[in-house]
Amino acid sequence: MHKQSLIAGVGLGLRSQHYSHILSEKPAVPWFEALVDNYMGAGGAPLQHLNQIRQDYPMTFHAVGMSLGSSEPLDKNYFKKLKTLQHRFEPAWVSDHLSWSKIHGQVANDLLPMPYTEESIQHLANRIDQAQELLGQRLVIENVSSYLNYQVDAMSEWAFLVEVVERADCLILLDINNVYVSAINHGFDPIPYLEAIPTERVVEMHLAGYEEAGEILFDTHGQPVHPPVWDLYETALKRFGNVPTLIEWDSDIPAFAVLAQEARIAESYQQELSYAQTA
Amino acid sequence: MLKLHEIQQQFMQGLYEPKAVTAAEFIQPSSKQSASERLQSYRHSLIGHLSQVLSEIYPVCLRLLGQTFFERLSLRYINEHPSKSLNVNDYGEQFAEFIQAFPPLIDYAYIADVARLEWHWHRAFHGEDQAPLNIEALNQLDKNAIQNLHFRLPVASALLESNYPIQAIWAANQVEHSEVAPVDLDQGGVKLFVWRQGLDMRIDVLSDEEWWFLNAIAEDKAFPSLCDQLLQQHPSCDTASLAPHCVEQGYINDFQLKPCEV
Repeated sequence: MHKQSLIAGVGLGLRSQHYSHILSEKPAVPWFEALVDNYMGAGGAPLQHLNQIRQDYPMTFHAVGMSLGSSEPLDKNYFKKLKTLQHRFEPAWVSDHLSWSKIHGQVANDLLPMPYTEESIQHLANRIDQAQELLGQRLVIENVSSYLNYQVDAMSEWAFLVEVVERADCLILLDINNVYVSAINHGFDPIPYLEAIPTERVVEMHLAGYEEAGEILFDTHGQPVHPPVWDLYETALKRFGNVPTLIEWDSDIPAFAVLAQEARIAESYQQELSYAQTA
Repeated sequence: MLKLHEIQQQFMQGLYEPKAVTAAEFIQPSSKQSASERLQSYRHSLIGHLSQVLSEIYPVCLRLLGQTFFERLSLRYINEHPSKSLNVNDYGEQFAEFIQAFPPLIDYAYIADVARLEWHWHRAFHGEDQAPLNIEALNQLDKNAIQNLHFRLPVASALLESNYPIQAIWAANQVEHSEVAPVDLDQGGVKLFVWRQGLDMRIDVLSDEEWWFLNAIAEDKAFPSLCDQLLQQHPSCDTASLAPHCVEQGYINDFQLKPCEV
């Protein structure tokens, strides 16, 4: 299995449409991120492909099903499956979202936003702590894009995020597209958001495309990265340095070459920063 | 002030039963949208996601019913069957029963059976990997041990019977076929074994004897009594060759020795 020492540069989200291309062409991609929920079946082709690809590439796991914010006990069955995969594939890290999906046995299979309250902060910090205990490693937490605020919200999204990660002592996956989408939807300036995030906790950034629906932006991951998100990424790189960055594409998935092209653009931003720092 | 669990309970109810909650009680309106519209954004996203999941598990049903009808059907199904699992691959298990009871499809009973076939395919695709049958160990069993022999079917498998030629319907409606070849519904029913051999997905049409034999194995009948009963049911059956045939096909991939129950 490929050693995990280097998660660096611009990686790609692993999608089943690209398995055969990756296995036959072995493209020069520094790392892949697997949507680990897609591999929670007992066996079959998905696990076989993941196993083959893992032989040649470093890998991170990205989860959508921990439902860390739910006000009910963690789903032990979900974590049992996740831990089995973690042992087998040895990802460099496991990430999930600052969100919830399940209550009273019903599941939304979506990343629902948390109320920004002290109660939520303490609840999430406790749950992330439990998850880190179960997985035996620090969790990486991603900010989600959101389309509403709660009546009880008592602080900004970034103040909430910072407080949760400080109390849970976890790491951050900063999704630049999500910051931008939420900024437009809620009418805030994304720069103070970035400035509030502790640099030492950011281990990964995500880039993806959104879609416009009236005056609202939706985080659909079905488009190239938009120009204002590239601009925000450039600002983020200046603050956080050349953090490993991932191109995500989840709907209307294009040819592998399209993702590779998006990665080259992100790499050019990283190279520009490196030149500027050495000049 | 509402507590976290009260907000989450209302939010979830608002996603699956939007008329049952007053969104403004827990969601702020914005200058662009009312509280209710903001909740609706999440409902649309969820419906879209689960509909997509159903269309990926049931592509032949989608093709048989058409995009518009399938979307309406999916919406009704999602409203009546909220997701229960954090892993979305578990969603859609009751879709065949839902189709069977759906009044506009009452005269199209074969569609529910096609849905059953697609669900079994989906489960076998993600099912457990298993080593092939240890034939050497099987051959070494002595006559006494055979009295206690119970065969096992692959875990990633299912037996499915239909009054309609659903295997032919399934084959004719694969996405790679731009034109659908007509299938004569009167050609009769089928008995199928839906399973995975290694990574190869298989839908095998079974004879009456194979069907009876594999069902008896699934019911955990001991091999000797299974053979006796098979001969009673199918007197012309060549029981001596049926077991080796099923082994050769890969339908039997394990065995166990269990003392006879007295």
